[in-house]
Amino acid sequence: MDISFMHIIELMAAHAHVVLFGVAVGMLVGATPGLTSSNSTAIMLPFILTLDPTTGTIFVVSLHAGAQMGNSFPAILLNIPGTPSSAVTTLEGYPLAREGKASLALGVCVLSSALGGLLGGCVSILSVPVLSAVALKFSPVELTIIILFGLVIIGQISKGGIWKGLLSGLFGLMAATCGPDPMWGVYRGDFGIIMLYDGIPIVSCLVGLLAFSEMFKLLIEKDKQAEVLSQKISFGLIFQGFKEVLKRPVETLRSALIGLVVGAIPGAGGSIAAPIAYQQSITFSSPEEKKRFGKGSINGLMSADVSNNACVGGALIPLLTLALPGSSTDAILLVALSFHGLVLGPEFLTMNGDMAYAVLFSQFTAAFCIAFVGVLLAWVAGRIINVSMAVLIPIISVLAFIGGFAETQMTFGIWIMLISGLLGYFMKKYQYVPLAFLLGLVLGSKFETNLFCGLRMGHNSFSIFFEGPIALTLWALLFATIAFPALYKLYRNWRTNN
Amino acid sequence: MSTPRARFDWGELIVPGLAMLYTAASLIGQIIKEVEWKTLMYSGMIGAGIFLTAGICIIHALLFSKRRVITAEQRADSRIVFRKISLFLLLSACFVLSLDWLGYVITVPTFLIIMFHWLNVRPWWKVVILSAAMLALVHFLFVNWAGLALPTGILFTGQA
Repeated sequence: MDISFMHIIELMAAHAHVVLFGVAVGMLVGATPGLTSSNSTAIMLPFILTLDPTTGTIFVVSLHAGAQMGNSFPAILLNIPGTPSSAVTTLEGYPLAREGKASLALGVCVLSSALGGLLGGCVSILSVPVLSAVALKFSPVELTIIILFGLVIIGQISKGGIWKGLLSGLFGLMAATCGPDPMWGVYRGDFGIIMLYDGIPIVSCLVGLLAFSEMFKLLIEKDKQAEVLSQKISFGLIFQGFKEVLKRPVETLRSALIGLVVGAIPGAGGSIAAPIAYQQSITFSSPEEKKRFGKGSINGLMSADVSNNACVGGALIPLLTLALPGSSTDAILLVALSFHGLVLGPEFLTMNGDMAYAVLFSQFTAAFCIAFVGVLLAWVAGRIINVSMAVLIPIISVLAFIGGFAETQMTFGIWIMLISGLLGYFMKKYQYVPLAFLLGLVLGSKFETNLFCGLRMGHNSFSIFFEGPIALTLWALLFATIAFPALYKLYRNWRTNN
Repeated sequence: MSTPRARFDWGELIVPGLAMLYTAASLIGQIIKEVEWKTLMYSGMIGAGIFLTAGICIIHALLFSKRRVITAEQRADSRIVFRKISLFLLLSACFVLSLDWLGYVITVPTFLIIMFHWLNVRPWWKVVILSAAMLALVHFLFVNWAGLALPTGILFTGQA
């Protein structure tokens, strides 16, 4: 399919208001403690599913970008990281706020986020076509290994250790066997429940795992509300923050690169990119600047926000080319697009090139909107972040019930949502990986189909999965991913002992 | 007075236990249904992986997880947490059970009013305004605009 540049520009212009709305909603969501881009996207899923695929995708990507920026508001003003990715922002932003420079910190975060999004957008636009061309050469054999790779990577990153991560992914794959077998159409795993004949409702499960599970945590923590540092927001200091960012182009580029690479790893995201970028910022800073770390360093503050927003563009690369979501929000996008019958993966760019490029280019529009809306929102940030948990919990719960109802149009969906929510709560509490479970559930059917297609190609022999240069390279990467942390730990112990 | 002992957190076994239970139930169901052997083989492979990883997680938890000495105050706190979660689940279950019968127009504001009251949101007029606003949002955004067929209940349609 020929991609028409004019059509892409038309799509972008037609969706500029969607980008603005998405960024604004994302920032409000990110600024509200207790809400993240993933749980709010999950709650809004019934609404997103009614939009056409292009509009829905652009809205979700813009919301994600806006939320990555919005997380900085409670981090700076309350010393509460809205998400793990903004934990680093508290280290530098809150000390600046205590010095009376909250506006400066907010200005740094706003422009850093905009630049991170811009650079992430540039690289994703350049790399998606190249990776798609490579991915088109993938047969069912390579696609099977890629999905396995994605699940292992997410499991590897889990705080609870690789075994908990693997169990989460395998549990998701097992849950995906509920419903008709993709090869022979045999009904299985439904336990005699007619509503499970089509499989576990994924949207209900997603809303439960990502959104409703948070309600239990918020319920327990609802009385912990920090005092807002009351400061008048100064536009002059905000723009001074912009100047501070523009004086540090090398810091921006380095943090953006880290964010892009980490964002492209399934399951990694800002919670890993931000600390890595921060640590690298310390390493490469001048001795005078190093003394400021932990006391309000602009370099440190920038590194977190640039890398956070570059992750958004980075995560789109495996999503569009390999149908591997880089984050929970991208997993929701995968579900939303499959609901419309669109299959992400190697052929997506050739079959829906205009839409894919419109989404990628909309990141530029989002970056400009972040700079514009961020300044306006900084002015009212103090009011937004003071929203009580006691008000949020019931409201989000009702929205989650509706989200659970949306797919099946029956109350059975809400029961699935409740059960998933409880499962998600225990998974988060004991350091299992809900995203790995979700990935297994969403990609399980595709994994099974590709596995059996590969077996047919190999005349029912598993040896076909270990033939060919691409398959062998992927296996090597997989084993390296599993073995590297253990080997590195052994090496460090040996160095310490010697 | 005896010194408090360090205790194992049995909650560590919830997720692996659930995974193993679900897998066993699913495999038994497939065997009873006499599904295609390749389908069973696939489920068996995933199941074997689950039993292996769950077993490792359980053994790791039993042997290596940190035992915590729980004081009387912590025990009281955990009872409060358990009660909060149980009550929240009970309210949610009541919402779902009554949704088909009473409809969203009654269950949504009722649920919200009970939750706001339980979470000490005051004054009463704030509770009423928030509940009414949420009902309006649900009606206009999800029912009217998105076309979601939320149950209207016996009061509005004459049948559940």
